[in-house]
Amino acid sequence: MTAVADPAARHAVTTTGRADGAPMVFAHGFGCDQGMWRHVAPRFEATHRVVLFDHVGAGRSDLSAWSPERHGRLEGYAADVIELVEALGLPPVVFVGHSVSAMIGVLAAAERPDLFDRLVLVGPSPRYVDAPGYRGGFSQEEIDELLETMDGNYLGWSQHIAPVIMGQPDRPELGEELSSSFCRTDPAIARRFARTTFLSDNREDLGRVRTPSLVVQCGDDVIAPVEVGQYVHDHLAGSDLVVLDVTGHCPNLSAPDDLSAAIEAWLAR
Amino acid sequence: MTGWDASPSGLLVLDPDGTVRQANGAVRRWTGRDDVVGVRLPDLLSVGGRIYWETHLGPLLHVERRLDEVLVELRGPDGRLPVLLTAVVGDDGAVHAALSSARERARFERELVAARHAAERSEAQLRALQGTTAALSRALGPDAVLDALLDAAVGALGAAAATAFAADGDALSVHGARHEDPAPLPAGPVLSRAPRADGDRVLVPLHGSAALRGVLSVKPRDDAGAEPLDLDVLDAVGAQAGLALDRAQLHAQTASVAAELQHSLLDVTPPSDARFSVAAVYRPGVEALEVGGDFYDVFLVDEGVLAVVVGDVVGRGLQAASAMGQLRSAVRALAAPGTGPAELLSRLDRFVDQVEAAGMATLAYAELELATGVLRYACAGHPPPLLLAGAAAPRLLWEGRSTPLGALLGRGRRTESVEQLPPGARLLLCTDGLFERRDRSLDEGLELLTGVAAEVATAPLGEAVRSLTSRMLADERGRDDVCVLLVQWVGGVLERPVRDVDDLAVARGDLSVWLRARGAVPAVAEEVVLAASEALVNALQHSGPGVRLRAETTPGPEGDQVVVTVLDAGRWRPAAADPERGRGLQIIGALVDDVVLEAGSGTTVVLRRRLEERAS
Repeated sequence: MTAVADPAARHAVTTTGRADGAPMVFAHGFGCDQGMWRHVAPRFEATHRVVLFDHVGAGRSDLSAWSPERHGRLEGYAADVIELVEALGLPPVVFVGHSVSAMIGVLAAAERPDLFDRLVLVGPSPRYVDAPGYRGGFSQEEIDELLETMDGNYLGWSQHIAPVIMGQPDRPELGEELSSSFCRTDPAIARRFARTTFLSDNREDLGRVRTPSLVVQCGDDVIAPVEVGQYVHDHLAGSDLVVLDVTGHCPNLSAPDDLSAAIEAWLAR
Repeated sequence: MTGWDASPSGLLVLDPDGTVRQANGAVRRWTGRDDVVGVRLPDLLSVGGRIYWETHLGPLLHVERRLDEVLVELRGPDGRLPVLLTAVVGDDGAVHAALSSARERARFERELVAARHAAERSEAQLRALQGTTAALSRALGPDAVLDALLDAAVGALGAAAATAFAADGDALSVHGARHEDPAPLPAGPVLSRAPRADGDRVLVPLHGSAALRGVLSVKPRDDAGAEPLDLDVLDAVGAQAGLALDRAQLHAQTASVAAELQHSLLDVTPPSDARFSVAAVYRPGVEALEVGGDFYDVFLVDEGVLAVVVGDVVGRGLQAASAMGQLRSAVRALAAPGTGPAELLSRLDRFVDQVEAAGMATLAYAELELATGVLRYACAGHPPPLLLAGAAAPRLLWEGRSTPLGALLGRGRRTESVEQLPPGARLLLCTDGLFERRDRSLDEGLELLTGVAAEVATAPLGEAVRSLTSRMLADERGRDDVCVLLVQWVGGVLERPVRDVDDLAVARGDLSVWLRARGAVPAVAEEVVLAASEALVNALQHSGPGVRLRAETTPGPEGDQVVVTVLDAGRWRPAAADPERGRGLQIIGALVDDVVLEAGSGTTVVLRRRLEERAS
């Protein structure tokens, strides 16, 4: 494992909000970067210290820190989070993880409960592939097809997008910085991250967590169906479940008001 | 049919969450369904497209408010249909999307991607293969080859763990493992040429050219994100490792034959004689793992002449060891009474003309007349002998030099030189590994050697040669073979004139060295020298020139005794008439076992003393 001098730089950390506020760390899921929290994070700045970061391989993170061994398992990403929280020297944090980062937060909290005050899990799934007695939402064949599609759409899934967006002369309103970083991932890393995300099975890890947690489930989510959110809630001791009347997998973009309200209400309890 | 429905493109109006509000004929045709209104667009896509939408396109559309020419696949009645999706978000929040068939582009892109994948894969394979092959070829023995293979398996080849088995005939034995306890032996014989699955592991046979050399058993990584093992690369690596094991085994056999040969050739039992002593050190180099061609030998040319030789054959390995053996035998065969060093080198020139591998060998050869201490020596391109004589500073013998063996054939003469050794003198012969280093000149090396030799000169012979060698090699990590030979001429009889009082000091030194060389302990040597010195002073005072000192050992009733005789041409007066001289004899008497004064044409004082210390 490579020793990292500065995890904050490795993860392109952005800190806003009240310096003396309780810290909230927002973690993006597979596909995009910390920009995913653009509509949610600002709502907590008045009350909290808000920390945003990119996983290694995403956004403006240090790509050289990515390693096939470490990041071939979600535990590697969880170790990154632990290093980051430790390096920032924060009191126990509220960790808000979207999609695969929900499980990364579960792994990190199971490993180092002392660093985590609460977990907010948005659209979590401990296993995407169906298994006997478990419905993850995808058959093995479908995941294989996904990975095949990803391999086949190598250009489309990755660098193809950003240049096309940047090259639009009729959109002067679009800042170049934004377009060049949002949802841009290194194609080779994105491909491996997809395997790591969709082939992991972390159901057993749910039982290791004692941190108070909130499961936020979208009412109609093809990536993480309601049954999966219910499963997480059932297997996570002392967790609460909120189902948002929202379609899609990204309420942080499509329903930021609902999501923020749910989080605020739970934190206030 | 309206223009909307007649469009060759698929046209859609979506709610902000992606639900289809309107769709034209092309969309219905491509998807094969009429009920697309109310369905979310991602649900019309393939699984990959659906996840792509949820994780990438949806967020992008939300933030950027448009998408341009993104390749996705529609689920159609006849399978997946690649389409290019362009979408903008209108002021009312509705999404206006256009799909255009991208069969051609998708095929082109797939070909591009396939070509790129193939290139990336073959580059990765090549990189893994090259790295592994380089590591295998650097490994020097069969064990090192299997170690390198294990390292490569859990390194470049991406296995979670690996165990290597060495094959001996049909039997496999565990060599070692990485990241696991050694896996159990493969069940059943390993017959296939190619890697095969064995439970959750992969067995890679390591075939040499004639036989199975071993088996590598690898465990694939089970991490969710891990790439599968590349069987083609494992196959190629297995073949490489088999050949590397062939080579390593052959090399190990050759090396061990050469080492055995060298050992037997250098197993010198020097002739034993009271007239001389010999001590040698041979330190084989370990860096090259191959024997070198350094050698030494000590033998009697005839009853009175001792031959000492140190040589260095060019090259390493079996060939060098065998050439060294032949050359060493040739020296013994060609050395004969009356031949002498220069003539011997000439004959060796003719010999190496026949034995090519011994050509350009270097050699230092010396013959010592044991009765007189006359040393004849010659060096063929070899470092000069170093003479350590009594209290004098060590001296390199730079005479008698000529070129390496075979270099001179028919075009020059071999030369030799002569040196008179004092009794007790030592002669050091060595090969260049003792003092030659990459970072200093030969002169500096020889200077260092001379200095170290001076410091160890008075130590007992074996200790001196060992201490000299270890001090000289302290800065060297076994790079080269080193051969060091130290011979001491005891001198059967010490006989020398003592001209005056100044010469007396030198004579005392010679006698002391001679006594030590005969095995006298320091206390005995000191007392004998003191007694002889007293007799010599008396002789010099009363007879002037013509005083001689002679020392020899003879067997006595209680072990060897030393007999020191001082002769002069004058006449000692009776003790009573010369109180001073009387005191001299008394002093002598106290120091030795017996003193006899004989008067004839001159005076002879004979002192006897047992070499062993007297019991007090």
